[in-house]
Amino acid sequence: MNWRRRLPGWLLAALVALPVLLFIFWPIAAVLGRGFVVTGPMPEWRLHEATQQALALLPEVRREAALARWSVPRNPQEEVEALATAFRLAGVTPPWDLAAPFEAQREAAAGARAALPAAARARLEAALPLAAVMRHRRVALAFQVRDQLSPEAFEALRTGEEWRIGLDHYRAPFDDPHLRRAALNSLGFALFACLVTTPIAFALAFAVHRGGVRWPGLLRAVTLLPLVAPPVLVASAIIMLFGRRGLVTDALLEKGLGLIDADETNIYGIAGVLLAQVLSFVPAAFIVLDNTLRRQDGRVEEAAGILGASRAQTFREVTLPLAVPGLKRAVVLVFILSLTDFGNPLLLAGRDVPVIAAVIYDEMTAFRNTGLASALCVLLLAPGLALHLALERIGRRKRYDTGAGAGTAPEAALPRAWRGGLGALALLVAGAILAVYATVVAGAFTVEWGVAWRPTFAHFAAAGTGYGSSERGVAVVWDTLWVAALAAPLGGTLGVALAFVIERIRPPGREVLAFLALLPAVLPGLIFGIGYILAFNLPFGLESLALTGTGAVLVLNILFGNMFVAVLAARASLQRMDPAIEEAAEGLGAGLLRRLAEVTLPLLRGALLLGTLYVFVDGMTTLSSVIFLVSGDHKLASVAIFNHAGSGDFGQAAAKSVVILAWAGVAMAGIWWLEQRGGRRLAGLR
Amino acid sequence: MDGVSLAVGAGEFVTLLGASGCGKTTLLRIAAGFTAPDGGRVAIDGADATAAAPAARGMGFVFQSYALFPTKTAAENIGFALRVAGRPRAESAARVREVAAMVAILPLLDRYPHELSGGQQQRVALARAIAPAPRMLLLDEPLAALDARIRHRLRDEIRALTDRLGMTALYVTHDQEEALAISDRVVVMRDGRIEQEAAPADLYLRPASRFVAEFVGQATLLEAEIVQGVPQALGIAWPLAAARADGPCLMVLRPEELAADPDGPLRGIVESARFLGAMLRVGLVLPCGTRIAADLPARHLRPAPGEALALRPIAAPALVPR
Repeated sequence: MNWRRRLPGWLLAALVALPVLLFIFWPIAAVLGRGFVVTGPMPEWRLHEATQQALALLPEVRREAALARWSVPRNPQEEVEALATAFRLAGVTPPWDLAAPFEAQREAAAGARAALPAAARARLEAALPLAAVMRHRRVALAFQVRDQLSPEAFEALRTGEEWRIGLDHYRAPFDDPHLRRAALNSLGFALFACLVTTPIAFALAFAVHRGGVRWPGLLRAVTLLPLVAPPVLVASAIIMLFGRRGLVTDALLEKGLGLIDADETNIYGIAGVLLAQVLSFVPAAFIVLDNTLRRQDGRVEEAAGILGASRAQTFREVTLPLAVPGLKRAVVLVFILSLTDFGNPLLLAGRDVPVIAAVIYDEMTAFRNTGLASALCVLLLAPGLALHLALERIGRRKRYDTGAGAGTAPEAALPRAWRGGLGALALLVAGAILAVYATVVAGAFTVEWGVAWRPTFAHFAAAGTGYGSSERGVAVVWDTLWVAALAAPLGGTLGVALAFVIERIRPPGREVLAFLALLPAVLPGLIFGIGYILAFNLPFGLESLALTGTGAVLVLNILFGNMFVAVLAARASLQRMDPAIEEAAEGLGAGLLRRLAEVTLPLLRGALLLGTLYVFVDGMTTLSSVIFLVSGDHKLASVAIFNHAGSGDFGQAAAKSVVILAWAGVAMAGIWWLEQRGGRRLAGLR
Repeated sequence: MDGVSLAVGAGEFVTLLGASGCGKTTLLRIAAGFTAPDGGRVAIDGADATAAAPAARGMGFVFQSYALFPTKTAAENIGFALRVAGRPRAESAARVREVAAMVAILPLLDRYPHELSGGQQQRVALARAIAPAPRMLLLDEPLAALDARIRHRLRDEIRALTDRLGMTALYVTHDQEEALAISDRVVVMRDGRIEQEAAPADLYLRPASRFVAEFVGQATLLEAEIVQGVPQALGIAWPLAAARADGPCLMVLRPEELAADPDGPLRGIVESARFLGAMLRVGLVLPCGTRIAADLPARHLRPAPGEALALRPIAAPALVPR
């Protein structure tokens, strides 16, 4: 093979692979590693070892003198503590009450010391000077041998703390009762969410594809609407409707009808979280099942019908078994979404009902305990993976190919009762989703929800005043817009380039590249956010390379976190496209760049637009991965909305949500317009 | 679908033939009960069945896409109707083996559809349709997705099977050769109407319209005129098949209706000669510029392009209205 011919391709491959390794692999690997790093007080035996090593560094004369000086206790407390340590070093458990006042301990210790058998007594006396130094004079010792120690060893000796590799963080959820409770809560919510959401989503998809509702297109559009939703939209709306100052509970049922006392109602807690999660995750499950049913061959159901099966029998024997692979995927998807959701539990249950995802958020933001947060992130992957593997083992693994008739729905109408039930469910879900959006829009124009119902535009003021004023006002949305607008075309382009490299240049390890590009889609956003902190706080130990606290880290995180859509779309296009087209161009003398520009890229235009749009919309609305990356100078609207909602400032949250929705709408319309323009030329490829 | 009326007699094998979109599949689906007609009625054995559910019509249906249940084995597919009807297990197992033997898939009963070839899948689909012993079999382009050799073999087997079971069949295809080979009667459809309804030989030899003449078999259409009862075309008089009134018409000249003859009246220059095995298909350009095609026995003479050749009519071509 002519290397000159291959060289441009390899260069492009390297150019694309490098950022993927740097901005996807490295952060995730950092999280995986960080969970094993434990910092904390050294156990006594380690402390003893370190002290002994440091003492050995002193010249013998000085060592004797220092030991003689240091082993004289300065007060009863030091005397007792040194004795207790020496007892343990001698292999004897101190036989007195270590919690008693020091004076009392001192007498008891003296007695115990005298009562020891001769051999143990000798060991005790030998260990005592060292015990005194290691308990109380380590700092002095450290400074005496500072020049001979590495900076890390000096720090460790001085503070008595060190880092080591350990499973402590991974064991925490099993040992710590609070974390254990959080883990059980997380699993409970996740199980409930997937068991309730999946059947609802399946019923909706069935209604759309089997004539269960009169306007299937409308139902699909409304059900998919929350995919373009600012964070905690559903939770906010639930509080605004059913909270203690809620429109339904307070304004309607209490003040309007006098039926209840709104202060007695409580949407906060488990029920509220469950409601919010189900409503939030129906769209994702619906996408999966919509695709599943779309691919089913309706003729198979007709075949069952003409062979004498009733509608219910057909459903049980044909439709449902065929949908099992899709149902499994939807169950796992919702399970993972619920496990990693911290917005809904934090807003609707607070710290009363802890869940692991919220604990991770707290450990990162409040305690800076990145080690525990990293370990919990990794642990959070386990139940989803386990569920996936378990479901794969149940039943046959085959993804059924329903052949040539795919995509044709049976013509026969569903029985009236079925249509009634499905119609009612569709009305309920679509109504709830529309109510969520209507509530938030109304909230954006209300002076103070639940208190002052007068209309206002005040929440749309550019800059805000008062509590948390740096996040108030819609100016923060413009910052977000810039970040998203910068990340979107870069992400779309890089994704398409990566797909081209994977499909056409085919370097070794291309499957690894493809897997890495998909990782952010499968992993919880929390991991990706924490990974960016770990990887880019002090990259290669160089402070000048630090990205955290800059706007760039937000752009990079959003770009690489959502690039996978462009990769998937472009790979699909390239797989449909005959490579001979490019070979023809090459045969006619076009180099790699010309081929890309004139032949390949025009065909990938749809993938590029879709990938760009996805990065943009998700960049405007994403919360979980960027919440740890915002800083004083660089804020994002989604994080601001989350904070507003958390402090009950729904006017501000709603106004920003409305602006974000408007921009997402503009972006989608723009992309649609661009697609229409290029439509005729590419029509043959669809 | 416009004003279509079709009757299928007991034991008859009728084929609906037409290009895609002509309404043949819709007509079949109306007969099966999958599609509800906007108007008109469906009667079975004289009783109105327009509103009857598909299962109540006693028909078996074979789909172009096979529509096998992917999650069930071949045996479970074939036995589905019997199980749904609540037949005893032993009885339905015996019936499954009986029909599986008819379509020669006995060794494949434990396989899942995706473990079968296309031809085998269609045999399973056929067995599934006949297992409940329907009065009539409806087949919607059952062979369209198969390759030519299997298509020919399965086509003959389907016909043999319906003959053996004395089963009425309504068969949809766009392949005119298949329609001619398999049917008692062929119904040519066009734009939702029936263009002609006839036995295969009649359809071929006596097409009722220009459309049928062009759709069924190979033909050169020539402008002709009947003068005093004799067809005149290309300046010569042609043999007459059936008496016809004087006036202009179209002549449907089939390639096999011409033979080489040094003294033949149709003289021209050979433009192309394609060797087809038994036949040599010759394209001849006449002095007037008209091109005609003729099939000549390939064994004897092989005129090369550019040579002169003379042909003679040896059969009476069909005549259709202009």
